[in-house]
Amino acid sequence: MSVRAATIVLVSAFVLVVHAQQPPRDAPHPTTGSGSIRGRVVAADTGDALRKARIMASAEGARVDPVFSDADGRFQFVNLPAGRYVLSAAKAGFATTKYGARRTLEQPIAIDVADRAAVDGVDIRMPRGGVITGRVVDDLGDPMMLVNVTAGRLVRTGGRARVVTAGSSMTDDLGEYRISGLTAGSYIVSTPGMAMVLGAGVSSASAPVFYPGGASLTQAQPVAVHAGDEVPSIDFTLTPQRMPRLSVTVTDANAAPVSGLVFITQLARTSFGPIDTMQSFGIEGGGPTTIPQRPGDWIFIAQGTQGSAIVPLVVGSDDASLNLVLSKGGRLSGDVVFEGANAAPAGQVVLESVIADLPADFRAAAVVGDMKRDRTFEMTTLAGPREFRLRTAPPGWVLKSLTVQGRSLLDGPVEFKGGENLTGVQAVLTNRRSPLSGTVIDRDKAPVRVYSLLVFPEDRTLLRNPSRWIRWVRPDQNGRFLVDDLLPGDYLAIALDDVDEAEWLNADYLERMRLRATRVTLGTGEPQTITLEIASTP
Amino acid sequence: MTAVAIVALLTAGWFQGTSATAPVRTATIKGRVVRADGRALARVRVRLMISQSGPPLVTETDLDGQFEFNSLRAGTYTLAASKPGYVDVEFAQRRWPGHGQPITVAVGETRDRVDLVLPRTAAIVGRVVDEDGEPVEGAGIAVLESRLASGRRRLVPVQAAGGRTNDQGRFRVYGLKPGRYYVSATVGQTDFIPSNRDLPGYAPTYFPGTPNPAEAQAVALGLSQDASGIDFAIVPMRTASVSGTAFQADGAPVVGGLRLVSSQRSGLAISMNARIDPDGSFEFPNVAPGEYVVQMFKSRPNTYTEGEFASALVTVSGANVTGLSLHAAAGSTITGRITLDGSGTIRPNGVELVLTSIDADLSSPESGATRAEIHEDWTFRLAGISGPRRLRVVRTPAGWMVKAIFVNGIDVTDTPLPFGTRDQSLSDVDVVLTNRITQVSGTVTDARGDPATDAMVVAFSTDRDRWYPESRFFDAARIADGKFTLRGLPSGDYFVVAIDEGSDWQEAALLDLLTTRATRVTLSDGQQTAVNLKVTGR
Repeated sequence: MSVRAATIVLVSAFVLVVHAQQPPRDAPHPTTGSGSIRGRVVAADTGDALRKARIMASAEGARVDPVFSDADGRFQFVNLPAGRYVLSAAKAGFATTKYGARRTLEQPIAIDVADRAAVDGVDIRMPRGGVITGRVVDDLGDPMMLVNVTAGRLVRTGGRARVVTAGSSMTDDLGEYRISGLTAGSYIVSTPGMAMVLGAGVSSASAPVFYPGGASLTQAQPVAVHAGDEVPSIDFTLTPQRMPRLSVTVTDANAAPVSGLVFITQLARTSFGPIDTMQSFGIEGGGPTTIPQRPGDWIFIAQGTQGSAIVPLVVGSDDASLNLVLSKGGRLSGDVVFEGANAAPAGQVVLESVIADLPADFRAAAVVGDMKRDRTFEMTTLAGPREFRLRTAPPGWVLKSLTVQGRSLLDGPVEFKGGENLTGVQAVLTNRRSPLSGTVIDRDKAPVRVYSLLVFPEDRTLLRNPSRWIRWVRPDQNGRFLVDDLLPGDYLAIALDDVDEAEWLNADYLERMRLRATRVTLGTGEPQTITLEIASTP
Repeated sequence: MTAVAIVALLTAGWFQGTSATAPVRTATIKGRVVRADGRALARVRVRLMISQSGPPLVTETDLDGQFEFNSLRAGTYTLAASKPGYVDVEFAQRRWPGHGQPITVAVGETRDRVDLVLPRTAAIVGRVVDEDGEPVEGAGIAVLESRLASGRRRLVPVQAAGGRTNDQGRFRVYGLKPGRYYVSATVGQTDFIPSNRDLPGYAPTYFPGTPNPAEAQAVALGLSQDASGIDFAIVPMRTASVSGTAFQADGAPVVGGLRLVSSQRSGLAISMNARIDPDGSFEFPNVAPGEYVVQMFKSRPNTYTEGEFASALVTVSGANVTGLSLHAAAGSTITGRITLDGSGTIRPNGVELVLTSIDADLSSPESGATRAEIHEDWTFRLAGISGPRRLRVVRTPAGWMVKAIFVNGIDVTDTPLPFGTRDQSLSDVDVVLTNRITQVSGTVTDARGDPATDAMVVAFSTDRDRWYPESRFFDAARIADGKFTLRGLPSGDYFVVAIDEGSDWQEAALLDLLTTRATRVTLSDGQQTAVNLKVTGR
């Protein structure tokens, strides 16, 4: 057998994948209107005006340039199109603050701006930022530079624990890092470790470490940070070891080596920063090729002219081998139905299939299906565990369902092993939003201005896909809430003083709300207005 | 325990010979790497190279700092050691920049005590505040060197040396070698999000607090010496936006590859990316007063074709510059042939014909020269060329040099030619090579009369009109065993002088100084001459 050695290119493939897979995203045009928002930025503890704070305003479909507060902390946004705006402020020494959100992951209070309306007195109170500092050394006590350290909040989604990054920092030549601007709270501090290919045959890597020194999230000890505090000496020791070697072969379905260049991308399934979680290389002629491989929980994506393969692999400290079998993958075809419309609305419809269980931003090996003139679409080369979603649609249209013979393709990953041919798939798009708005009162019927509203499906099976079915909103500056992006169905709504941002996307948490919640049916296409009594904290 | 190099397996064509016909591999090179304080340095990457080309052998030092390469062929090697946080060092290197000494081993020889001392890299540490003394977070910090670029002395960013200020306004730029550096701070530009406006109203500011690069103060760094206290305030200045529209050669709106850079005519070193809308309109926000050029460029499709290009010179003085209109040109094509004056059996692949840029503002900023595609029948082709250029032969087979370059019978060997439109294409370029080559050779001795080391010999025309970047009337050679040879200079009068290695010697002011201690040499066509030089220092 001829050994055609591979060309190994370890790159920061984040860049590469974004370029290769993602069409240039159209930035929305600058938008102008007649509304305005004025307010001040002040320190939460002293009330002192904060100058040169950077304030961003965002609303669906609007692109607004940031503004900076003046010497008295004042800011203004003018010429705003009507909409519900989220305001956030950033300033050195303070925690980046969304208007009305008391914690990083709490939903903000929206600023509702009507046509020609001037909203004044929007005061953003910024808590002082917390800081975590420390040092990363190797097992000999030498400083390790260019090691990424992240601080994140622990949250659970659909029963699975994960860390949402709140801040990160790279060590310098003294091995020191400094993560600043944190809101008060508990943080999981971790480092993905390092990997270094010194040259042919010599490479070393260290495993991820969770403070105070464990190898997994379950061993992590949270670090408590108070507003304005600096928590020093959150130190790490990394032990560089010989990197395990992975022997990779690429064959076709008949176990014959493939010809040509096969491009391989590997993604970490544990969540760190993008730079640490992706690498790429090419294999010529099917290999075998031996590469130094960082330990971790990876997903390998191979793409060549003979098809693709997607294989998960956990690499420990031992050498391993991996056979990637390229296949043309599965095929899926069907029609697009625009609910309640006689003619198709103007604009493109593009459905997209991405690899399940990866951060949403990674579009590696994404497969798209463009709607053709006759409203049909087709997706080919589907491989591995897949999720489906709508990439592009005419304004106002959302994906209501995607079904094949009555089975939904939206509620959970669909596994493609190659050779599947799903025909007659129906993609139903709807523009019938059923906005649910209203107000909240207390036991004495007095209006409550600041609260949280949770809306979740009555059908417990739908909780498997929480981002599609569960909403947590907070009211606007007038105390009115609005939920306008839920699909038709039977829901439960509950108004609360506060919501646990680490737990709200889980069935067990919502179960506790169920008895006290109010039933709402969405789907008539008509706006609904309700008044809810605030529930006492359980 | 001693680390032993594992011969590369990853790169095609590099295998350890095991058959009976393989040359004897019995030599050994071993040694130890220590810190400046004499302590052992572990995990140092040690590279052994037998020639400039081909992959090096690589190993890592053990806990005692020891390394060993065995099973080597007899021959002459260079050896270099590197570790993050330390200056790269070649064996027996005494100066930075500079070179070490080669190591020669015979069959069966073990060369021991190949010891190296790795000094730490230096850092520049400081703090950036605003006019009120408040820390500035996120300011871009660049470390610059005064360098000759396109014939002008400018401040040029040091590769991979930079950073951002933290929440306290502090920065630490590390990994620096000994040298004289300048430090600048920039706000108003967010590198990664060009569509984001940032804090307006500040000029790029140079330590100790001036917007004028001519008033910048140098920071001198010795070996392993940190410079701290590089504290300065950014200078408020009225900034403006530069906007317009840009279209590709095919008329489609620009999608990327649009930047504003400080003009070669200014001494600044600024480069920023545009925010681009889908209709081809663009904007550069927060531009400080100065002379700039907006460049639109595409990457080259192959080595002999440049991507399309357009540029516009802009002077900013506080007011917004609007209505710029850029239309990329596909560029000119240059075809011709190489003619041999003299007999010999040389092949076209030994020749490298490039285009040098006369005005960097008006040519594509892509790095690396565009090289002609030279065919087997000695015809050649260059395409997509824009801007004023010179044709230049930078490589010839041994024993050959360029005699002249003709266009339609006119000698254009050293003439700048305009390119950009189809009309400016050239189809009858004749590059004449001759085997009657000139040669200047000789010896170089130091002050004590010993063969010189750590020096180089430069030759430059006595005619100041020939002093331009990449002139063929400039040449330099390294000194080996106290001897040098310069081949292929055009006929004419030259100054020849020995100087320190690694200096920017092609600067008019320095050349003027060198003329006072240089030796004058006259070369006629094909003449070979000898001179003996002394190193006299600069």
